[in-house]
Amino acid sequence: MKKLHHYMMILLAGVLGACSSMSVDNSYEDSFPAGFSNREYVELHPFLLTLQIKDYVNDYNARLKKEVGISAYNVQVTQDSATLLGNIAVLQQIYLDPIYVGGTADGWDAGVQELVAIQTAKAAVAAGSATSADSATAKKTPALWTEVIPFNFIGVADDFTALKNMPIDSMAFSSQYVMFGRTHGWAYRACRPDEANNTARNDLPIKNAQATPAQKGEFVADMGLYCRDATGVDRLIIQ
Amino acid sequence: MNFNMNMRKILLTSAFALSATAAFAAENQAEVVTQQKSLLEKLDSLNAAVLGLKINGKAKAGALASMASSDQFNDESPTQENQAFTDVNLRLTARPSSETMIDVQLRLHKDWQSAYDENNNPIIGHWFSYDGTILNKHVDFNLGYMRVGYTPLTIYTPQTEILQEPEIFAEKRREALEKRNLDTTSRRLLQGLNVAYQSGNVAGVVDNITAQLTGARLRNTAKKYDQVFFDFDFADRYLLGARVGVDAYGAHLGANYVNLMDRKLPSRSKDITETDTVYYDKNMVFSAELGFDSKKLLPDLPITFGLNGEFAMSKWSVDRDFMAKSKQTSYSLQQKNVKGIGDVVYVGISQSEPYVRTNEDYREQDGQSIYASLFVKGNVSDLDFNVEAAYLKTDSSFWSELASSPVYQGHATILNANAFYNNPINAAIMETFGASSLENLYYNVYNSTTLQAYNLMTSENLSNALSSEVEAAEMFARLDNNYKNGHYYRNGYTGNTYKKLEAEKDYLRDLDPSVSLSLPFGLATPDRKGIMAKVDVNWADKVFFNGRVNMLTQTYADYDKWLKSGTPVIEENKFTEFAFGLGADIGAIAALDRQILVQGSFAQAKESAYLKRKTTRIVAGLTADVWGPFALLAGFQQYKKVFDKGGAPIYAGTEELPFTFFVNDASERLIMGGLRVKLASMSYLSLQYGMLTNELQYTYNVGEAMGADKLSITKNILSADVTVNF
Repeated sequence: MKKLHHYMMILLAGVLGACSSMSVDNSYEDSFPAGFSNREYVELHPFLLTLQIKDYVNDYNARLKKEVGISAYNVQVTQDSATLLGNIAVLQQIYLDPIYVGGTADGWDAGVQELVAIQTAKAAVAAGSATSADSATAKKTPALWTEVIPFNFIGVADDFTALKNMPIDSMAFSSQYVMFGRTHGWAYRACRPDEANNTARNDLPIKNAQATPAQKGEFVADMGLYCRDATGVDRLIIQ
Repeated sequence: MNFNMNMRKILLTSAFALSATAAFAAENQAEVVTQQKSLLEKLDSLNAAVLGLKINGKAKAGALASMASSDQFNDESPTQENQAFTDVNLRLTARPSSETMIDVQLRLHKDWQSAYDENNNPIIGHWFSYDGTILNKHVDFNLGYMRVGYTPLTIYTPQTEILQEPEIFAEKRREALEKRNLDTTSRRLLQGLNVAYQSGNVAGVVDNITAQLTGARLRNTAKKYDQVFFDFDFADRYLLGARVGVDAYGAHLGANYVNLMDRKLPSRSKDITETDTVYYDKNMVFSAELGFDSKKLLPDLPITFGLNGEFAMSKWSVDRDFMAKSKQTSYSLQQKNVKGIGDVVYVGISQSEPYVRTNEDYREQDGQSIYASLFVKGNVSDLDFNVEAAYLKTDSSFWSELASSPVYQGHATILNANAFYNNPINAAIMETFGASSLENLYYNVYNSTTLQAYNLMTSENLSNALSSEVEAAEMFARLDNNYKNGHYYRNGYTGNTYKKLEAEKDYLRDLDPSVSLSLPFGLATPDRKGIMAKVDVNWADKVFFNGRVNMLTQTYADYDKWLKSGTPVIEENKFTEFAFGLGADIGAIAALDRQILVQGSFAQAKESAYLKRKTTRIVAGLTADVWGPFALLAGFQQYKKVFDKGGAPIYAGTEELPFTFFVNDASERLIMGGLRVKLASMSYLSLQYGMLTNELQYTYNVGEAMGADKLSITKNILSADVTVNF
């Protein structure tokens, strides 16, 4: 009987143990300041999205290369470059979109001019009527092309649509804030009207402490939280 | 010849008393046909109570020559196969007390033809068990090899039943079974632990309460890549069985539970390729049984009656592992210089699509089965009789693996396996259909062969076991490798069980109704409904009569009609089976002091649809003590299988030259005759002649050419052997 009691206690302990919650409070949730949203954060720092898109395109092309083999891939690259350069409309969309290249209208005009010049020079070289200036121009890579190429899916005709349909992983932004943005004093939301006169981050000692550390390699974490006002100034949020 | 009769009875009682496996229910349901027990059967059990170590066994030395002739052999084909052997089966039993026993059986086999190839012969251990009846005879246990039977729908072995099978045949069949550790009971050969408790009489009301627990390993995982040479299976399969029962007032109430499962871990320890699929099978059966025997309540009546019934529910499910492409995302911290901002650390994402081992549910089925039988048996003035009528209904989705795997497998070529055939179709028929079912039922070949580089099979990347291409194969070809003799057999029986997916694929067994047309998987055969009746009569051990009638139906989709009408046509395939047998001991009838047993039986089975198969079996035999130590044994058996609608096509040939064929008629005949001389007590000399004919008529289709042909083989078999039981 004594033994039975003993076993019952063990059993009871087991049942209690199994029922009690073992979950720890989610510390990750706590890492975000009040009112943090991925969407707002990435709107303030759009280049994070741009970097993700560039990576995605790069990843896509690398997998394609592995799948079809290097020689078949190279053939596709040549074909795809010709297609993209021939499709000025798509090229322009990608160039002007602030998320992608984020170029200006003037830049676009200059770029197109250069592109046309290079193509004319190439045609002249091919026809055998090239001047020495022409041959030099023909060898140049158009600046437009260099800027657009990180957004070019190999083997996809309409890159702009493909880019728009690309899945966005917003978790990468929030984790970037936790791991880097917060300690580096990145603003995470827009300032409310009553915060318009808060101290700007540029006026805080932490700004200099991070920019010019006392010792090389030293890093001082920024403990403040910042918002960005309408003029683009990051201001300290009073907590 | 009273001695024989008495010995038969002693053997039976001692077998019952000693069956430590105590397979309760299976015993009564497996009531064996009036079968002639072998004279050569061991008597060791009579001295079983002797303590200490005991060595018993059977030694057989002999020769067998099989001479085959066929128009379908090619010119270079060997036509003769010889065996000259000494085979000793040693049974070592050790009894530390009267309660438990260790049983080890060893086989030594010497093939004289290869005697000079290799001097050393290994001993093969083929039975290891520790059995006992302990705790004041309340608990029986088996550890190691064991034979366990529960009920016909849970753990059971469907056996071939040939009425009035002459002793010359029965003995051959027993010998073939014995080489694979099998016997003629309906208990199943297993390896594991079996414990059975029997209460005995409780409070004067309950006669017995039983509880039994069985755990066994059914299959083994291959541990190395190149063990294809051995009978390893790439699955680790276990059985857990339990049963309880109560007996009171002649009634029996029981519940049985059987659970079989494949373990996943061992299979998963080996990588699979992108095209592999591994299936994990789970089969669970629960059954309730009910029995009643009037003998307990009305012991004075010369007639007893009763019933046996079982209701079972099965659950079968399969899931599978395969390689599927799966998207995987991984995050890492990256640093990039952003124009106008400076160095920025961000979370980079990279996606990959590797092949990942994936598991999914594949198939699942639940089914039910019920059978009930009424019996009347009795003894009225020297006339023993047993009459049974049964009803059976099994869902098509019912599956009970351990009850559905018959030991007879067939489709092997036992004798003259060295023959070459004159065309690929004949060769393919021998590969798939195999030699006659009579050859598979009654003959077996056991060889001890020297293993060398050429007959050691190994994995595909090595040309043989000892060398790859970097070494000349000739280097090892004639190398004597000490102790490396392998025991091989060609045998039509197996103790392996079939998983449902395997059974579904093995259409040949379904097709070739060598065991039973209507119930190829025994009573647990899925999709059957109908009645069965049987009568066994024994008049003073002088005249024996057996009769069987089975009328069963199967649902059957008629695809021909289906195609014509466009709507599914589900019909019934009706099986009609009947058999009767008659035996008479003329010696006993004429009051001579010797046995002159004349036996004969006729059996026919047919189906009304599907392939419209029809089988006919005619058996006749004589077992006679001629004079003094001389006995004459003779047997005749004819078996004919006809597929009126043609058999199911079998695909064969090479990729370049594929062809199909189907066998529509198979006629087999076996005539055997021999002399048995009793040299001394328990020592016999046996001289036998057999003629085996097998004729298959088939239709073939080789693309452009279609036609019909036949394959006909005749084998003349001579054997002489001396058997000593000790």
